[in-house]
Amino acid sequence: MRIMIQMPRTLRILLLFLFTFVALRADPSRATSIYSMVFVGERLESGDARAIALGGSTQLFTDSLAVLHMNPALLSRVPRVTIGATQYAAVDQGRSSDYTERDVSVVFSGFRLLVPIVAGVRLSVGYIGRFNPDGSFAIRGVTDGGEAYTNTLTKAGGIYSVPFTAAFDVTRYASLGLTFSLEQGTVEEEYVVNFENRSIVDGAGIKKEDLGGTGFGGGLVLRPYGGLTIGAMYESKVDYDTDVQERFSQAALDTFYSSSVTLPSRTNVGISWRIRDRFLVLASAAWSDFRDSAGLGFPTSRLGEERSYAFGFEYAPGIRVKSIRLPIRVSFSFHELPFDHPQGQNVSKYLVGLGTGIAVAGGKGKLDLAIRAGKIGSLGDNRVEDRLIRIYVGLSGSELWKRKGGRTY
Amino acid sequence: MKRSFTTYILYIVLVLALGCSSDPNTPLGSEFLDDGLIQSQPGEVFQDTVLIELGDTSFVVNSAMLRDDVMLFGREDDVETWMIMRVDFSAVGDDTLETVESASLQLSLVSGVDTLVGVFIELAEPLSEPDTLTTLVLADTIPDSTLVNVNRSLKSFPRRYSLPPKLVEDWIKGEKSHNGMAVVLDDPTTDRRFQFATRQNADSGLRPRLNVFFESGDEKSYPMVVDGTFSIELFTSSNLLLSDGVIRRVYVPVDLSFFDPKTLLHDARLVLNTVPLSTVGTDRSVTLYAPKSTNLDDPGVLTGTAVAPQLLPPDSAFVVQVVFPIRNIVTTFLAEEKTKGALVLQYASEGIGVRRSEFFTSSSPDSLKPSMIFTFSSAPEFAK
Repeated sequence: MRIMIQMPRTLRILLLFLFTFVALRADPSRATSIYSMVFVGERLESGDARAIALGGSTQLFTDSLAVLHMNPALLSRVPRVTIGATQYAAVDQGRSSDYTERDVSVVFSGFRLLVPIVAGVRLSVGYIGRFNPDGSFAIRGVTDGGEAYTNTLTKAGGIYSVPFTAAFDVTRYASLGLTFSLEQGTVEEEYVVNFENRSIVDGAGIKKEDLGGTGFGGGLVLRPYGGLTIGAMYESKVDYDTDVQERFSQAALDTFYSSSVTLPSRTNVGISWRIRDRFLVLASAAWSDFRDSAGLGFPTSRLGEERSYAFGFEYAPGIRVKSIRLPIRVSFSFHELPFDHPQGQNVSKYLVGLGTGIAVAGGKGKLDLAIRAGKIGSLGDNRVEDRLIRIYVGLSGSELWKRKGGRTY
Repeated sequence: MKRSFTTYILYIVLVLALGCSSDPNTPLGSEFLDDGLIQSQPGEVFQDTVLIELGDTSFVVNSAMLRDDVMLFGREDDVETWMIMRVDFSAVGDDTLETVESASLQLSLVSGVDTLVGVFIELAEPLSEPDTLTTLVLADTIPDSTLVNVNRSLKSFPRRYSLPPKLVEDWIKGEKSHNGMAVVLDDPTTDRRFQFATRQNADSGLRPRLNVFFESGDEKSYPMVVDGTFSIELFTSSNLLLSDGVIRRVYVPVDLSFFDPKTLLHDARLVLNTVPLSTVGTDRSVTLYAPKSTNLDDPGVLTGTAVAPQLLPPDSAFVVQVVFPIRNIVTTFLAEEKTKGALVLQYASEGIGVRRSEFFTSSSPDSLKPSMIFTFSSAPEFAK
């Protein structure tokens, strides 16, 4: 039987928007947080802009258009075909006792397509950015003969996941979600020596690690009564097979070998309470023990637990600007990075979030905006700190998807 | 209003996406390197100067017969130059049946003032062009037609210098081999140089010729099949001598045994220091090459891979450094795992005039010795 699928205009626009996001991300961004250069990079928040404004993707959302979050069980009650995508601009100012450097970069952190199968059963596929190691610094020097040079380290690439998720209602009060994911990534480190005297040939060495693996995860959401939602989820550890290439401007030094990388499991619990459809209060926590990780040449003695906590509040009626009602969202999140710097000194990340959103396409979609400000590390304790300003734009849309001569989703 | 607001947001997103910056301009982040959180290590950059301590030398290729539209005659810059030529008798035909009444050599002065005294001398060995003469073997002196006068006053006029009829007749009939002849300077004090037209001269009326009158009343003019200039140096030098006329090249050994193969080569230069006031000639274009052989007795030393063209500085009262980029050839040496090699400096075009430049040798003070400057870095080490 031939099946004709008619894609509604709203979804066409969303897909176009999504394509634009992805196309613009063809080149890796540079220099988000300074701390992203350490280990596998800065953990990316793959939640949409509403989730970010309310504390991050670890929070629990029961809205029909919220598809970008960690817990897969939340997808079971999304009623229609839905696409969500988010992208953010990072305006980070790195500081040490001697230097200040500001960088702007753009990160495409995630999207998800969800399709209802039957009542209470949903399937989805997406893209979730996990870690972003982009960053660089330059060390200057002068040879004995007076030739000035710059030795620059650039880290680039990223680790991402393509999750395939099935979510379904177990009972009226409980939903379950299961995820199988293809885990991929590339981490590149490149040292380039540039000389001011352009007649002197530059030199470079680059190490490129291509990672590939699989992971799984599961989530449970309970709705005991009223607007209360309680959830937990687990992401398995991922064992990556890694192909490593070390290439140099002197080809005789090139080497190729295989290796492995293990990233640890992550657990997340959350609670949200919707009060009379006017207020939403959220709290969540996630933790991961990076002492279980291996590979990437990182000193394991410097690794520890990664912990994050988030608190969010939404006032749905919000404020009215002319004919548009803008909800108000605020959040605070705390994140302890899984390594120390200097030795024995934990590195913390604090973020305060503020956001709002508007309905588009007659309520079939929404455009969310969020701004987060905070910092990673501190000059006093960690000698290096980043002052962060992150501006998020998220777009979600849902639509009835008709099959010609068949059912309507 | 909704639509314009959405359009605006989209515009901002696109601008932010397209406008992402940022090349680093500070070492901010290198703290993690010092702390061990970034375990890969950048390579260390070095610059070493290697003095050439032994083995540099000059070697003679030949005393080329300079080929140009003029022949040089005289003495200047401690170099004596003689004209050499050979008459083309290939078209004598029935001239062998004739008796020569008189004969003269036509030489046209194109540059020079006053008079230089020379002697015409037969050559003992045949002259050909191109030639790679290292010595010129002279035979009998050729007097004028009176058979008395040997010395000739070479000047702008007259342009014809008589030769013994019998000698010329013997050349024509093949009764005496004509190997060629030289016009040898016979003036111990002069310090100037004349230029005479050669057979390549654009004005055919100025080209050297042997004019013969036969007793039959016929007249014949024979062109030259070879002509040029032969140079004799009247000086010695302990420096590295690059010269033309007497063609010399400068040989510099290259020893790369110190080079760690795990390093990245960024730059390599050969530095030669000129001896003040040692440059003669206006065409100072030179070429450096890596010879096929490092044995000076092997013809392979005369050819090789071109490395770097260069223009030598004009004559100076001061020491001038001449720097030749040699990274590419050093990279080739290293790729071939060749630790010993050589570089040879020559004039880009040899055999075109009296030229020379002198450079300080390895026996000079360190600051003046030939040297090679290498800029390299150890390869970055990545954490496994």
